[in-house]
Amino acid sequence: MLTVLDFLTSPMGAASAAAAALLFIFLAYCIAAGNTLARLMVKVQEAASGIDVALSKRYGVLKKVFEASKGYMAHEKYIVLESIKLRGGMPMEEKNRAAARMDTAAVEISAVGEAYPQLASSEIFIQLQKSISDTEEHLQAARRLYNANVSVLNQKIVSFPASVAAAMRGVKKQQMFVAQEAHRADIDMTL
Amino acid sequence: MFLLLAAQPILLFGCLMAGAKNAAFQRFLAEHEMAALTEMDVGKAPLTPRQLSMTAMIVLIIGMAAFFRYWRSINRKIAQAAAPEGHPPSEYENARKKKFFAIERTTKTLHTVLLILSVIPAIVVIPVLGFGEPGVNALIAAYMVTFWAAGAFMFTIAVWLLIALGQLVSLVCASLSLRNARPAKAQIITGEIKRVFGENSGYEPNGHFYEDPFETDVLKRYDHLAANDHLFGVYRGLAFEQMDVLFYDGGLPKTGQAFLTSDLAHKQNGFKGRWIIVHQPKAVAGRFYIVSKDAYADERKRFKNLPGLSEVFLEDTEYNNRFVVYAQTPHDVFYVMTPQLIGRLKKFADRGAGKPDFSIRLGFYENRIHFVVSGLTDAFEHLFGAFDLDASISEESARASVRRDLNLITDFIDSLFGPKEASKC
Repeated sequence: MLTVLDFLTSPMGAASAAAAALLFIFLAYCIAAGNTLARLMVKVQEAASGIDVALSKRYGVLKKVFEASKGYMAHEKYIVLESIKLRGGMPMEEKNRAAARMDTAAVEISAVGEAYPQLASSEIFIQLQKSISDTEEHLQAARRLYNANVSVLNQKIVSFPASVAAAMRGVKKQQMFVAQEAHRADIDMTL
Repeated sequence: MFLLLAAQPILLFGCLMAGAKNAAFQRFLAEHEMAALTEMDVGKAPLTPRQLSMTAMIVLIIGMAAFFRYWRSINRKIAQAAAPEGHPPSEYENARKKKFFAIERTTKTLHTVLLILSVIPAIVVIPVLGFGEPGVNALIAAYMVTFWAAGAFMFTIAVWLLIALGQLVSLVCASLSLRNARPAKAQIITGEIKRVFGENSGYEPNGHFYEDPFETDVLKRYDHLAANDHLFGVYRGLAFEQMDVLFYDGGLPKTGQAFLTSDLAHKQNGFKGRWIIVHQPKAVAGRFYIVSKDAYADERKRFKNLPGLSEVFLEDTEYNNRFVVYAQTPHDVFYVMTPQLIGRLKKFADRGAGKPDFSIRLGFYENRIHFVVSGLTDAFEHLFGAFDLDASISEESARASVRRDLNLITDFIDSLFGPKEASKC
């Protein structure tokens, strides 16, 4: 009768044990990598919701500015803002589009301020312009945080053997929140 | 006795240092006719510490020569004395004579040695080491050791008392000098601060921050904090404060009544440096810290253990390699640390690279940046820093040294907040 000890000491047994050990190590690594990916995914989701919050704040401030300067601008300009629809869990493409429209709206507001010095000098308009600038910076921060997390996650996913863990867990590469061309330069919202 | 003698040069060093400071400061006051300040001038004392030290030296040399002459003459008399009539010299007397002759030989040798010692420092040590403490101390130490070796204990005690008295007077003089120096220092610093930062700035020699530095956790929570040289003002539209700080655990000996950050030489159980707070335009919800990886690797563990903090990586790889960021809310880091600010921080760190003990340690708390620099030359203490007896302090050099110390504040704000950022405030 072949005992376990005899089997393990035989060449076949030693090879099987080594293979089992390797498999165990690989599985352990996959589990660890899977957990890391899950944590990264949570971070990405948190950062994405940070973008939602920033977009929503920015939208709110822009709306206030538009309300404050309603009498000074044409109705069609107001439509730009009206066309922005925000909802929770928007895909990144939609977020990008919304952000782009908000940028257009911010430029419109700035132009109106330039055209009407009386409006530009009003205290509330100045405060709201500062708020626009601040919300823009918050949005950029949220975008950079999201992109930094996505970058780390995407790098993990494409590298072996974390890619196996990613496939097992169903974690996929995430889309970056692309900055608009105008944002690549430092935005100057100073008055 | 030996310990007292061994400690003597050290004590004298302190004495002369105080004397040197005082002498230099007196010259400074006299040169610039600070009438209000010279009222308490220690120049009214019969002897300045420097004069006192030199007088003690001369008295010591003359006294030493006189003592040896007297000792040798006594010796000779005893040695040459004939035995009483009718009593042949006893063995005891012979032995006594032998002993005295031995002393005679020793004193002769010592006399020669002392003469050589008096000359060598004068022609070698003092010109090489200067007329300050090292040269004089070398001389004093040589005399004291020689006296002790010769067994002239009583004489040594007398010399020790003489010098101790000199020290006492010197310390009193130094104390008066410091009292004189403080108003002058405040006057000069205030003038320079107002010149650089405008009328809204100020200087409190013994002032503190309005908030508790321990609460910020930028540094570990030491047992004690001593601080002075509180400056405040506005530069490029940004309000700032600074103070010299000394954190330490356990007890710390103090010199005199007032605390000077220059008092601390050790850093093992404490932290000495400058703490600058800049009120920046962006308020953050949580707090975060940026620490140089190279200089404060040990600090990473402390930040890691602070509740609610986690390491945050920015998108700049070079930055991540050089600094470590711990934050309560990662969003705050990305909000404040714009790519421009990241670049500026790297450049600021580059400029400080190579300077002793310079490293970045920043704490962001509400809308304030706390910048802590360790171990730099004690700021705003240059008026007390002229240890060389022959050093002269001019008003311009004093003002220039204050400006150099203010440069750290302006450099920091200029580097991190260019005109554009600062103008937002």
